[in-house]
Amino acid sequence: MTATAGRSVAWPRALAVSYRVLIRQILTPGRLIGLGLGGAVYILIGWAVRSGDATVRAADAATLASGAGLATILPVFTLIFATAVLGQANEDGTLVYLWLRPMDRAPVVLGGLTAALSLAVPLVLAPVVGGAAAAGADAGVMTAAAASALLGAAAYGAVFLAFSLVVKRSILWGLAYILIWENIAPVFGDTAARLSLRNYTQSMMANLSGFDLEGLDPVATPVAVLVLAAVAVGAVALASARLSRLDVA
Amino acid sequence: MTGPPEPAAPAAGAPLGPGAPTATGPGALIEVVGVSKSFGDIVAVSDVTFSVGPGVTALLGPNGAGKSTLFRMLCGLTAPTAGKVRVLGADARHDRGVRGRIGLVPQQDALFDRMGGLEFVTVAAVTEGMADGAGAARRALELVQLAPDDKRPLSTYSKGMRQRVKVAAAVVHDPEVLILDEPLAGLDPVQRRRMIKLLHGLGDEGRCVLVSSHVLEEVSRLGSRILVIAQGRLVASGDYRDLRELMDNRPHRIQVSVDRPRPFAAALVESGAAVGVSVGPDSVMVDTLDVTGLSCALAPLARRLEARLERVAPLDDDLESVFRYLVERR
Repeated sequence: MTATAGRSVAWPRALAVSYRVLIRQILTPGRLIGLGLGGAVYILIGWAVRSGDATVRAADAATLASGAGLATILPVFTLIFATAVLGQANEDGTLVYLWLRPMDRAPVVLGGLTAALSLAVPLVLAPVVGGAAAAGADAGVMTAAAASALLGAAAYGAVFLAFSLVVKRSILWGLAYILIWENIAPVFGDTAARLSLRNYTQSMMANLSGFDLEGLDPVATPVAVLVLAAVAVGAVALASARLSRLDVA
Repeated sequence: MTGPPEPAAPAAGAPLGPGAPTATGPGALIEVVGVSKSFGDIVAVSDVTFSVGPGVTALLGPNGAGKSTLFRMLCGLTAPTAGKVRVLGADARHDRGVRGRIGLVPQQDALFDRMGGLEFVTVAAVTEGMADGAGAARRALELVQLAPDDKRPLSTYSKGMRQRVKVAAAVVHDPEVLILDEPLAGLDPVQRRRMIKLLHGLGDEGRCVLVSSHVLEEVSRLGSRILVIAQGRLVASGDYRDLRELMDNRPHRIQVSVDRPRPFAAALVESGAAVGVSVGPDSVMVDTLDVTGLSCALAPLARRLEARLERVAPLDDDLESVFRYLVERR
């Protein structure tokens, strides 16, 4: 990128101000209440499936956290916030106030992603870990669920944020992606499963908790971490490039 | 129907007179060369060329003419399909530095609604790279006569206050080029007068101030230099007074409702009061270069033909018709 003489904004400042502006934009009572209620229902399910036997309880909790938690709650809750930060800002016409500025694009994207994760992570961790606890999980299962959800949120968040800069109605497309790519396609074969992020979050869950998860051929934990981190970094780079070429409303 | 003669109308985007904002050279802060923009099959802007120097220049055009698209291209918010756009010699879409030298008041009403005015303008200052963002924001708000200490969120502001907040955010970093898309919309007459004075002040300081409007009276007060855009094309540029003259001198269309339209139309052409007529079942559509002369001729003519005049109504006494006329003349 060329630059004529003029002021410019340093990366930390651009990231901080983008974060501060965008988190306020996406923090709405409707989202908090809706997702909070969804999380509460999930915890109730965890309590309902709680078994009498301690070993069975821990295995059931791991299955619950891996299945409904990492495969549904994690991507859906992250989708809601990640698509809102920049995609919605462009649709409602406020993105121009961050775009037409002497700032690089990457800190704006990182600020947006950090804002989305600041809200999504607590709302994901509370039900995923809380549900596992309600189902009778031990500390190992809860730690595994938290670590997998944390790294998974970063990967999903970056992917959905980039998604929102590429397509309109990104929530609908994102839900379709979660349903088809992340939940239906992996059933039909190992190759398809390897292409879903769920495979790597669940691999982490299985490896860290020590429980075998049904239908999962887990990859090693370092591989899972590396893939999720690479996806997050790649999606941020893609989103930054896309933001530069975006048609801003 | 006979066609009206050709009065002295400007050619395609041609200067209306001296002082036209089309001069190129070292003084041009904005340069647009052969720019077109399409959205699928829809051509929003078609082969537009102009340049603008310091001072206030008004971009006049009806709604949907392509003004906002042109402004978005100037700011780099969207890329032209063809042609070249330069602001301060650079392309704002790819040049980070030049973006900090442009102030934009977008047409859309969207703001960060949960913030107060001071916070919103401070964010603008900080993202423009200013060291004392809050101080600059206070000064900018005072410039547009808004109270910096007003703690209410922007969502509670009136349309006029929101417009002024947008202007404050656009000028907070002291830009060399200021682009304002319909900035007077929603302002009451007093605010409008103050805003126009502010824009003139900024122009007098040597800034390039480009303001769009679809209201002729606004443009008349904004400045004498104008660009006229209609149907995505630049149809005229130059001095406002020349446009005003053109409005007065162009052929006017008047509908005359009369019980004997055919002989009445023939007599009108014969008298020379009309340069073109179109006869309907109970009215005559008259094209004339001299509205006053036609008005004086109607009643005597009706008496002579023993016809009953029922109604005389101008059909094109608005700015839209001027735009249409300019487009048709291209």
